[in-house]
Amino acid sequence: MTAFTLILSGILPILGAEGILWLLFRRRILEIEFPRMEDRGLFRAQTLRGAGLFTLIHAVAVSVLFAVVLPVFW
Amino acid sequence: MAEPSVSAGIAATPASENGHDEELRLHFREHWLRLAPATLAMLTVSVIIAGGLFLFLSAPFADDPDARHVALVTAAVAFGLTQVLFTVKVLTYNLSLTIVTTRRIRRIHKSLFFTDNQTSIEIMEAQDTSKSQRGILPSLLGFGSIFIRAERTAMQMEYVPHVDRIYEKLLQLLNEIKREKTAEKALPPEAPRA
Repeated sequence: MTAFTLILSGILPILGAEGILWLLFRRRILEIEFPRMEDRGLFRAQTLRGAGLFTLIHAVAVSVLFAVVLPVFW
Repeated sequence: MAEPSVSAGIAATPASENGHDEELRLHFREHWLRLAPATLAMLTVSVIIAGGLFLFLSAPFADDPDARHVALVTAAVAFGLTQVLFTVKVLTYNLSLTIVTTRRIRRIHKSLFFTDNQTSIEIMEAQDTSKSQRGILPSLLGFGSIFIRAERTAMQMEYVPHVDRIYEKLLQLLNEIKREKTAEKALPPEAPRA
């Protein structure tokens, strides 16, 4: 197994899983109702940005760890 | 760990144009400390996986490539699952919310998959409110519980961030509603038109 294949097989499942979780989260957030459209829009934007940033940083950090550790010890 | 936002947004906006006189007063999530057990569990399991892998790779039989590959794949899968479960916890934390409007207090607790609980209490029906902050951590980090009792129901909000400020806002809102109610009662009846 080449280093490239190894890295991909470590990174892709993590990025895919966290991406699916974020999509599920987005679907659930869109269900929350506020009395006014403006408040709802602001809440959605803030929450999706915060959670999206966390998910992205977390997924990238785990992927980098896989990309470093797996080829070194394989 | 990227700290998730604990929002305590406060809005003072006029009534909407569509005749809907309900206004948002504030909304908040539970205190970030609610995520501490999940974070500690994730860190502990990660350290155990890393330690186990390190011990295995230092052992003499780790020279066998097949054994090493099995150990690495097992550790990677276990570590990946731990991280995915941690993400689920963080996202679920962000789905629990309390919304206070001029009409009601609504608690929403959703999960990513199946749970969707919502409880609501009418502000007009609220009779007693109390605040509780016990222990070192709640005092240091400024969170606590708020209890609201109404005619037929009750609501307990735990891990409320900035509990003093939010409790003050709630009391202010309840007083406003009561004043409005009293003013409505005190108005003289309309004189009959000739």
